[in-house]
Amino acid sequence: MHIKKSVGKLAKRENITGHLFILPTMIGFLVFIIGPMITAIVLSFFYWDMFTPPNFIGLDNYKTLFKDPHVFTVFKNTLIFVFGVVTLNVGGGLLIALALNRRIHAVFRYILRTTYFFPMITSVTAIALVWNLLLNTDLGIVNYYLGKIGIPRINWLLSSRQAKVSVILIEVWKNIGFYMIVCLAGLQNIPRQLYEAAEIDGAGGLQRFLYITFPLLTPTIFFLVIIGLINAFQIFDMPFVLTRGGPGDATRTVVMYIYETGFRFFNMGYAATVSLLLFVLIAALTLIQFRVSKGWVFYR
Amino acid sequence: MAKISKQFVKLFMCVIIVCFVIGISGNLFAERAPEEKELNFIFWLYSPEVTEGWKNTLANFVEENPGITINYVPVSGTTWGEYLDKVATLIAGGEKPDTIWVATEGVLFLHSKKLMQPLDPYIEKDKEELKEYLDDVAPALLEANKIEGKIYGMPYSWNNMVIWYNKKMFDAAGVPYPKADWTKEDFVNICKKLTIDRDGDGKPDQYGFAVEPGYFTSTIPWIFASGTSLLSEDLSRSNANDPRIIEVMQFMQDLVYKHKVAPTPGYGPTFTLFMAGEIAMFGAGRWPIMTFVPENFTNCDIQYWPLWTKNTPRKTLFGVDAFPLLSTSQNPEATWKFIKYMSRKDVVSKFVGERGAPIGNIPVLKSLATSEKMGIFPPKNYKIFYESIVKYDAKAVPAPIPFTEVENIWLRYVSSILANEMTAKDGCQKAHKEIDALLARYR
Repeated sequence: MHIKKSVGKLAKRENITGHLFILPTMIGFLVFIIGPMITAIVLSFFYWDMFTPPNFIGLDNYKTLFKDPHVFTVFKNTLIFVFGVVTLNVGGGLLIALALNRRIHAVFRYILRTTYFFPMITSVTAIALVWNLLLNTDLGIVNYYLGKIGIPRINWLLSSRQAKVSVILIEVWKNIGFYMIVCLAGLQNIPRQLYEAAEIDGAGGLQRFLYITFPLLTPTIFFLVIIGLINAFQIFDMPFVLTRGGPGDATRTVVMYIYETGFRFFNMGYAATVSLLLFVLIAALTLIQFRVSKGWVFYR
Repeated sequence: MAKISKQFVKLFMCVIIVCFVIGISGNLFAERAPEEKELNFIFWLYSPEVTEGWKNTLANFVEENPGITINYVPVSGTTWGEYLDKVATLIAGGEKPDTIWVATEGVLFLHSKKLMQPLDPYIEKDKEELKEYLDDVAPALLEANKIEGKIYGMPYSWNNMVIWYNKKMFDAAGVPYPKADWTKEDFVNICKKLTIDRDGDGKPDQYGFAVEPGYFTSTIPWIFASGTSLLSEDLSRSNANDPRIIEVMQFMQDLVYKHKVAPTPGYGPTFTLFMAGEIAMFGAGRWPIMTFVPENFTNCDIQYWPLWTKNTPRKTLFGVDAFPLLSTSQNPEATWKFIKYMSRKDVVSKFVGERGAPIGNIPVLKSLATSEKMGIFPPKNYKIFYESIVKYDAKAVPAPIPFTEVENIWLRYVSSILANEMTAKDGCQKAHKEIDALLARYR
């Protein structure tokens, strides 16, 4: 009886300690995540220009949302970006990681790894400005050298089709290092014995990749797809500096549209409504990912 | 385990208490002596050295008014519009500026949100003191800061749109410099002569002109030249489907795709390309000197914007900045002193600039804008800056209350037209529909 009581006391005390430990995070979560989310939901029923008190307008913002042709365009653009950026980042990152994981000289590997990772730590604005110069249609250096080998001038940033591709490519060029590093870490975590055993059993290179490397890497790939998806949905700064969303609406993303609506046109209620739509989309996709993942992600 | 965590909890509490105490005492120390007034002054940080520039400009003010200190609040942005958006967000967030550096683009917006106080009673009170300024300032600039007959800001500096040309490139091509009465046909002919394929690959390596999908800096000057405006006179309706505007947009598209005298329009480093001899002409106000002077680039000059036809009367486009007294001001009297100080000749004269610190705007006072000191920088033809605003019909850039949104809609279609993905007619009509629907909400 006595023991039981003291154990209970101890458990309770530990409980409190545990709660205290997570308290700072919880406060942060409440203030910075849950608070703004509730605010956004409430705001979506108001017209608010930030200067005068909010004005309740019922479902008007939602009605506008479904009639607004720009919303369709910016969501379509964003989905194209998400698809392009995530596939190329994860696929490319994995390929580079596989290449670097071979038996190459340590110094060589170090240099390559750093080179691939470097754009990751550079400011987006700086990158976008430099690419803007390089990709200038008529006076840029890229087209100049392409011209030397007989390729006609490409309208990198100034045609609707090509500008989308350029944004995706630069976005991938910038972030692929991160995907590579994470894949590399995943690869290096695969125990050597498995390969040795497979080798003894007579498995070839492709078989080893298909039956050992890939299955054991699926949790890493899954993680990267989820992170990549969430990040790609929020693409903002690259097209903002590179193309300012143009030509026309060709490279305008959802987040850019939200920013413009809220902080340039001062229609906070509508901006909140669009952001809720984005939230629902990301949440739904993540949920589907988790469901589908049961079929292909292999945890050891 | 329990013991360790107990210690940890104590430590944790201690840290919190210490932080709390520091926080409170920090606040106490921050409390100012009551007689000292702090003015919150927001300005556009268009380049890093701007803050230092304002501190220099205001050094005498602080010296002359011992009780007043200035809190400098720099706000960044690539255009006036973007800067003003951020200022509005700051004010909405509870910031209480006394005065801000504001340009035409933001005046009606601030007024619509009841953020400005009329200056008339103050001006009336200090009429004598301000006589020199009021006699010397260009009337159009003062007029641009008036709403319903009341004045809301004292103009400080301004810009209009002129054509800059690279003399070296003109000389090399044997083309005479443009004359004040040149028309758009002359302009196109000159552009053609200056568009040159140096390496013979069939593509030009230098261009006559640079077209940018811009508002004040590119489309509006041509629209003004053609004798019309993007919006109605009272800014309450769109005029974007005006056949003359469609003609202007067609002309701009033709410069790139028909005459092929301008590179594909984007947001390139025009000034650098101009200095490098890859672009012979571009449109701007006085601000390029901020890039040219530090690079010691002087072989250029300016000319009036080309006339649409020989018979179209010239219409000058300008934007002016000023200092309003904001409704959020906690110290209106001290702020008025600040505004008055900014209108003093010795202060405005800083806008003439000095080597090492050129300032890219035109001073509002005639005596300064036409003084020979302006000639220490390019352009040599600086006199047309002031001439353009007094000699011809001069109108401020069309900036209705929802300026940013109008600009955004217009540029969206302009960029499509200039990318040759939309016809001028289609783009203008679509823009018209959208802009008009937007302005209808404010009618």
